[in-house]
Amino acid sequence: MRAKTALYEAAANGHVNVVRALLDRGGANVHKSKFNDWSPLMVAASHGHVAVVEALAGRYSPADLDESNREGNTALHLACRNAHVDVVRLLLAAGANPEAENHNRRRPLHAACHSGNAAIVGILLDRGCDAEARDKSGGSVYHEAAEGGSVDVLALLLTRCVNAKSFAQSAVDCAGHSPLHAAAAAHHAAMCRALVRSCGLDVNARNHAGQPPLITASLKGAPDDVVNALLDAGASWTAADVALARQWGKTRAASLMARREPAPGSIPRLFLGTYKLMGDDAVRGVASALRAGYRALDCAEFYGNQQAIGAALKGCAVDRSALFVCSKVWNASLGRVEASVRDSLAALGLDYLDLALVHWPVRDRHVHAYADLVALQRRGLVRLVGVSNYKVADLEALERAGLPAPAVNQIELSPLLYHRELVDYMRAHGIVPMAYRTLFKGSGDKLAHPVLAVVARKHGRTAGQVSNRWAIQACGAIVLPKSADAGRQEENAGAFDFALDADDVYALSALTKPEDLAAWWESEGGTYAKGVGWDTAAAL
Amino acid sequence: MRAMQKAAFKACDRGDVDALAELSDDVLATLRDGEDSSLLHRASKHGHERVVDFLLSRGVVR
Repeated sequence: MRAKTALYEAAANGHVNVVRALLDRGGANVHKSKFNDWSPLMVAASHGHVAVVEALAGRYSPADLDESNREGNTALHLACRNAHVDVVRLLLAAGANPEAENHNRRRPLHAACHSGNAAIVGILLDRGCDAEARDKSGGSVYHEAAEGGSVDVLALLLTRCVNAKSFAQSAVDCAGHSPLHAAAAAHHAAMCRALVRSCGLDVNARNHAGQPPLITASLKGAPDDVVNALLDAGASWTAADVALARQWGKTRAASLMARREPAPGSIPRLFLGTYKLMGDDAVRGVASALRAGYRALDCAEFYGNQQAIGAALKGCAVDRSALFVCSKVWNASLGRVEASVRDSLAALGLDYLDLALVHWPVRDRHVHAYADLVALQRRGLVRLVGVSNYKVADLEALERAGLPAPAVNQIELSPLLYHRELVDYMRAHGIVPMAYRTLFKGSGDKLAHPVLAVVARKHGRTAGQVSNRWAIQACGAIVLPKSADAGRQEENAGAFDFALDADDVYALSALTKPEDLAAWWESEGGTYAKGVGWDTAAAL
Repeated sequence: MRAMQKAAFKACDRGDVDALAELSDDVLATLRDGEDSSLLHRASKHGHERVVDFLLSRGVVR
C-alpha cells in the first residue's frame, strides 16, 4: 500500500491553505499524487470540502477531472453519492463529465437519486443527464430513488422528465425488481405509498422469483409501516404467502397480513369496536389501532363519540380508500335516516360510509329505515347496508318487503351465546354475522370459563383470542373487539394468527345453554326487548 | 535520536515551527513515522500552513 501523500491528507481533512501552499510550491504534478486509487480531488469531493475542490479543480485538465477510482467512480460520482451540492456545482463548472459511468455503469444521476438530494438531481437534469440510463444490472434512477427513500427526488423526476410515469412503470432490473421492490426492501413506507399513488406502479407486480413487493418486504423483515403501506395500496396475499413468511420466521409480517383477511363482500374480518371509547381514549385508541393494522371501525350514532373518532381519522396517514367505516342509525332517528347518516358523516369527517346498519329492529319502523338505507346506497352515501340485533323474524320481514338481503347482521355472538339457528339462517341467506361482545365486556368470569381456558392453553393463546377465533371459524363472523390499549389491540388481532381444530370448535359450540339464549331474545327484561323498545331521542 | 524524532512529529501535529528550526534539511526530508508518513504529511493532515510553508522552504516536497 502506498503511503498517503501530504496533499492527499490536507485535501481529505479540508485544509485549504495547506492545499494551496503545497500546490504552489510542492511541484508541478503534486495533485496527481494518489492514495491507492483515490486522488486528492476525489477525497475532497467525497468529503464535501468545497474550498479544497475549488483550489484543486483549476489544476486538473478535463481528462484528470474524470479520473476514476477502483470502482470507476469519478469525483463527481463521489460528490453526488454524498450529497455535496456545492461540490457538484464546482465540478460541473470545471468541466467534469455529468454522464461518466462507473464500472457498474452507474452515472452521477444514479448516485444523486440514491443519496436523496433533490437539488443535485435538479442540477444534473438541467445538464441534460439521461433519466432513462440503466446500470449494469438494469437498475434505473427510479430504483435508486426508491432505495434511497427520498420522495422529493421521486416527485422531481416525475415533474421534470418526459414520460416519467410510463418509464418508471416498466422499469424492471435484471432480477425483475420494480422500484417498488427496491423501496420495500429498503423499508421506506412513504416511498412505497408515493410509488403507487403518484407513479402508478403495480403493487402486485412480481420479480423473477415470483415475489411481489409485499413478500419482499416481509422476507426482508420490513417494519409494520412498510407492510401496512403496501397492504393499504392494495397488495394482495394468499394463505401460502402468510405460511411462507411464518416459515421464514417473519411472524410479524405474517400476522399483519393475516389480520387483513376479508369477509365476503370485501368487508374486513377485523374491526375495532368503539362503543364506550370516549374522548381522548377514542382519539388515541383509533390511532394506535391504525398503527397495528386495523383498517375497519365499528361506530354508531348512539355511541356519542363520532366527533372524536373523526378527529383520529383526520390525523392519520391512511388513505380513505384503505379504511372501512361502519356506523349505525339509532332508533329515534329511524324516521329521518338520511339526516342521521349525514350527521354521522359530518361528525366522522367522511363523505360516505362503507357500511350503514339499522341499530335495532324497532317494530313498525325498522323495515322503512332499512329501505331508506338501501335508497342511500343507490345514491352512494353508503356503500353497503346491513342490520344489527335482528332475529330471524326481523330478517324475514325485510325479505317479505322485497328488500335486498342485508350484507351483515351485527349480533352478540360468542361461544357462551351461540345463536345457532340465527347464524344458520344468515349463512343460508348470505348475511355475514358481525359478532359483538366476543370478549364479554372484558368480564373475567366468562373469560375464565374452563373450556375456553383448556383450548387457550392447548394453543398457547388467551381465552379472548379463542372466543374471537371461534366466531371467525364456527360462524364465519366478522369480529369487533374494543380496546384503546395498544397491547390489547395486538392481542385481539392475534385471533388471526392461529386456527382451532374441529374438536375445539365442537366443544366450544356446545357451551351455550338454551336458557341464556331465551333470556337474550324472549324474556320481558331481556336485551332484545329493551333494545327494540329503546327509541327515545333522550337516549341519544 | 528517537526522542528527537518523536518531538519533531509532535511539533508538526501541533503546528510548532520553532521546534523544527534546529533540524537539518536532510533530517526534515527523511524522517518517517511508524506509518511511513513524513513531517510534511503530518503537518498537512493537521492543517498547519506555517509548518507546511517552512518545510517547503527547506526543500521538503514529500
